[in-house]
Amino acid sequence: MIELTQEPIRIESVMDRVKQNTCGAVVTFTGTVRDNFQGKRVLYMEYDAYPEMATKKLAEITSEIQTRWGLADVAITHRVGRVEIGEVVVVIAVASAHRLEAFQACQYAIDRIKKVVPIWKKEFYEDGSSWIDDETKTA
Amino acid sequence: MKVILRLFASYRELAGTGRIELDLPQGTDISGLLRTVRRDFSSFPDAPVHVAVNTEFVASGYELHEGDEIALLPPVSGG
Repeated sequence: MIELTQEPIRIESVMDRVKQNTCGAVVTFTGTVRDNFQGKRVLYMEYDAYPEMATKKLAEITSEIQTRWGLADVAITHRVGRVEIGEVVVVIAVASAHRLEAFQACQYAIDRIKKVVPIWKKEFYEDGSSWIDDETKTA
Repeated sequence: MKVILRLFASYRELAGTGRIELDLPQGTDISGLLRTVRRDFSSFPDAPVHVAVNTEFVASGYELHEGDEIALLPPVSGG
């Protein structure tokens, strides 16, 4: 289950999508908006996305995970638009019979999202703003 | 041939729009498209650009076809 949303993400809702009686483990990753970047104070962020390709890439990541770890289920929800400090930007929930696969798959998911999904963040500071979209900032 | 160019993040701000219709010669490939873009938008960065056609990443030699949707993607920062 993949979702891009402009609304606040409820972590438990994402977990509920994958939780099932045959599974003993649900591992979640939550990404939140930090208030600082390279020494500058961040006031808020805006996320831009290429929605048709972002949902496609998120679905591919889900398939990769299910092929590699044979998990029960994966759900990913990512915010787009303006997001305030401390708010949740992304939630990944992975359900599996046992915890090892769930931990590994969840880490894989966030690492892949950060590499291949066409979503970009713009940080707003007191004295201006900056897209985080060149290698000097994303490396 | 007519194609659609989609731009995102700083590229979108640079161009002033997220969507441009282009008319390109038959046989134009990605390298040729990028030359056209850099000619029309001189402040477009020199750094390598990731390109997707119809939501799939492609290499610079990929030949374009009528109706293709080409997206110029800066390095991503989601997650």
